[in-house]
Amino acid sequence: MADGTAIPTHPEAHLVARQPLVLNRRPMAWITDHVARIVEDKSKMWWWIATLIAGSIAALVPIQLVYLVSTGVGVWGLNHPVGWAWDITNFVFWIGIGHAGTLISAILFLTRQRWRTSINRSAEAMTIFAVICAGIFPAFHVGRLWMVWFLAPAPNANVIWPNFKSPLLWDVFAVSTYFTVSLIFWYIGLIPDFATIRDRAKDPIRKFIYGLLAVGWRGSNRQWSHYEKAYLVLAGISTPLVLSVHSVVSFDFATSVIPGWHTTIFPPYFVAGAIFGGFAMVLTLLIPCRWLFGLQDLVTTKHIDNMCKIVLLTGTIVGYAYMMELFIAWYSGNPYEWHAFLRNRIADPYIIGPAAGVPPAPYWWAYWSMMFCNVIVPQFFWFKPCRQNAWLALILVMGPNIGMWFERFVIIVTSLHRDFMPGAWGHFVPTINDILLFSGTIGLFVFLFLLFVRFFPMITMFEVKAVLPEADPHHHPAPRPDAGHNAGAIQADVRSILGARDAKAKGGRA
Amino acid sequence: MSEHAASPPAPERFRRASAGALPVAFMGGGILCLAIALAWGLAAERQQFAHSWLCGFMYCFTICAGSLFWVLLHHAVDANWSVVVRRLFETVASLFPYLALLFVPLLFCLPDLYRWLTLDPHADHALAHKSPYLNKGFLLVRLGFYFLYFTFAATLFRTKSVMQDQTGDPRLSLSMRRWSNGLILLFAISITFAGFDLLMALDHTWYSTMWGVYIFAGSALSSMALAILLTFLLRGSGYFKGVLTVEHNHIMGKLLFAFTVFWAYIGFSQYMLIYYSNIPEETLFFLRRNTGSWLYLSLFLVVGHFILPFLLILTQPAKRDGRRLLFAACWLLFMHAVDMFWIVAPSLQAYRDLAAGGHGDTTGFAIHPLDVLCLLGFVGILAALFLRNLEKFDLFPSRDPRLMESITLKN
Repeated sequence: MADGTAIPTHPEAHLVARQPLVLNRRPMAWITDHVARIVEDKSKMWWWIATLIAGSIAALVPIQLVYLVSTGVGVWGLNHPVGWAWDITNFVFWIGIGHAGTLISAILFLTRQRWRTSINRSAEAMTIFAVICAGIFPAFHVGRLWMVWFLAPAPNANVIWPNFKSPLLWDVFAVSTYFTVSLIFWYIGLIPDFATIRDRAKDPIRKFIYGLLAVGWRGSNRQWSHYEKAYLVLAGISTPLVLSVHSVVSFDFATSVIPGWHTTIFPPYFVAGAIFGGFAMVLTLLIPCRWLFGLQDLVTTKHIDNMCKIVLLTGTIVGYAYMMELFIAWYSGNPYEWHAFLRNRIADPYIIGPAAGVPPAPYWWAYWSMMFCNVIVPQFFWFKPCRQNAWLALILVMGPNIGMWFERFVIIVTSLHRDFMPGAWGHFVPTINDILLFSGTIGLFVFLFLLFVRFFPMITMFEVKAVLPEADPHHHPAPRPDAGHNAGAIQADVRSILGARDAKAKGGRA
Repeated sequence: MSEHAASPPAPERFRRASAGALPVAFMGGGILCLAIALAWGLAAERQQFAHSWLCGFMYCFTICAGSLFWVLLHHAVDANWSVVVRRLFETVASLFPYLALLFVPLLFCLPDLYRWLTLDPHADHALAHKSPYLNKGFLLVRLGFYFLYFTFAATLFRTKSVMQDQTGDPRLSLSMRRWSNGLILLFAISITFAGFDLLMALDHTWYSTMWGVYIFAGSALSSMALAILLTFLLRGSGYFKGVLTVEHNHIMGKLLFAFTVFWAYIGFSQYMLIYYSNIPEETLFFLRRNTGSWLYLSLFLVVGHFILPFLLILTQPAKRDGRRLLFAACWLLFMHAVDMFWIVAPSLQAYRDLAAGGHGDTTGFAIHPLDVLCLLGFVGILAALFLRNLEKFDLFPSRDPRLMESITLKN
């Protein structure tokens, strides 16, 4: 896994040289200083403005929920036959977002993908905030919130148990396990870095608070040994969660006999879609963050490039699943299935509808928005410039961000709005409350993330240090050829090293 | 790590002599088995022969396709660990031209396999709807495409890889990486539709969107198991000294474990969703495999293909301990044959019942000697050809720019 290692004999060997994971040969002290300073320095003006805006939007959540509970679920645009609409769409959308964090923290850890170290902390934080946003929707969809404990596997007042045969109950288990494990995993990973902040703190209150959060971490060998074991076990527990949570979510639909919902490829297709949407969201958050906090040497172009490749891969898997659904809908010869696809989804008023001789599907625009955003847009990531230019990548990942919401909307609403019985057909139009509550959760998500970047170390300092070349016990330091070019950076390093109070307590293992 | 990178190992060649009489035994035994199967089957048991041959063929086809997948994946993600074992995957994948030849007898018995070829589309409602896809001409075109694709891709990567043994030019790595991007897309399409055409279409009324993924999962798993077996055998004969380490056991063990779980995940999802929804046209696939003593084979598949290997290689020491990993790999290669048999054999009973005017009911688990002969014949001939091809080039890509990264792998 050595970076930059290639047999030096061939003159073209540089063509396949690995890029370093931390640019400009930043020393360990620079990393500590640069990451911890985000927490220690005074908040910047942009942060106050952004937090104020996001917080104001987040305030829509309690406002809308109070209105909903006091008035009734009828304030949403649900009707017969569309009994599930934006609420479940938003639930699945937010649950899916979280999957990138779990994949990065668990699967990329087990497969020893060292580039995960710069992005895992913020991706895991995003997971937790996304699950919080997701949980709001099913909890309030029950209408009478004080009855929500009926979801739990406990006999209620009439000794009625929840239906264990229902995928909705499995959802309760899957999502609550997911949230709990993600939270513990995230927190365990934070402990050594909390200790670093504690040890650097001058303010006694700050020292006390971060001291509590660091739960007595001293960085002893024994603590590290326990830590590494716990982390490995949690990674092992989290890995099946990457697959299981969204598989169970897909069962909500696929176990039914509703055309467009019942198809066997749903579980892996939902998982791929979740990782797809999740990585798009990680990029959406990290590209501005690395620029605003000057973290380009830690979250490098290579990190962006790798994440874009995962977006391309998972987007293409999602495209494969769309094609399979379409092909089998036709191949099956099941007229209801084909109806759901042709007449409820793909028949547009301009090309396919007229060609197939069918009237346009009411939600054709949603289907084709989904196709364009999820399948076409990620294909740009085949091209290196699209992956290497962070701002271009940021624009392109808006495709999956929007497309994955549309995917859930298409699956849920287009299948429901036209029942088996044409007399029961209907149409769904969201109300202003649907829109405001969803907007509120976006605000809440961004608001929580802004609090996170301000108060928690957003990059795993000790793990990034462990992937530096000098963390390798066999490392032989070479003279820095770019010393003249990089004089400013070195001066900053020297300042930070001299200014550091206790180098030992910085949480670095090396 | 770079500090070890001073001296790459000398190129190694496999010598068939080191395998003793094995290549001859494989080839002789294989030809004998297939010759008996051909003579007996075509003379007396044509339909049984077609199914047995298909089962043996698909066993090898999926393993070769899986090997090509690992080559494609290696290049697409610019991996380093797999450099030392890549030549083995390349050589297995290069058996596709021979597989295409071995498919020829089936071309003469297609109606014995695929009942839809014997039906009049005007008389069968399902077939009438599907006939734009399910017709003999288009089927042959698709089969030609699959063999062309797999042969082309496998040959391309082996040629370029072998070329690099001579020149050590990293631009060949870049070229293979570029090719792998497009070819991995075609791989997904090819293995999916090959799975549809050759196995799912054994009953033209049945369908599952997961089918392609299921076939892929079995392919990737069994080809990794074969690679583990090969590395053990070759190391046992004194090859790969100082090149393959316990770290490679570990990483291949991890992938074997991951794909054991992935296969089970895909298989379970497919079964569960069909079972739960209970739609007659979908459940028939599993009903036929749960009828009578087939149920025991289905249960054996669950236990043998998932639970046993899962428990066996779950822990880290198990993946690093050679014997346990080797056992798991051999066991999974056996279970993959059981999986293929489980797919193909009940279809024959259903076909016979349908042809006799029944509903396609199955009677119970039964192995025909032709099943065994065909499987052994395919494995024997292809193993002998593999050893012959392995001899032609270096045993590992000796001048791959990532060779030292692969040798000094740490988990």
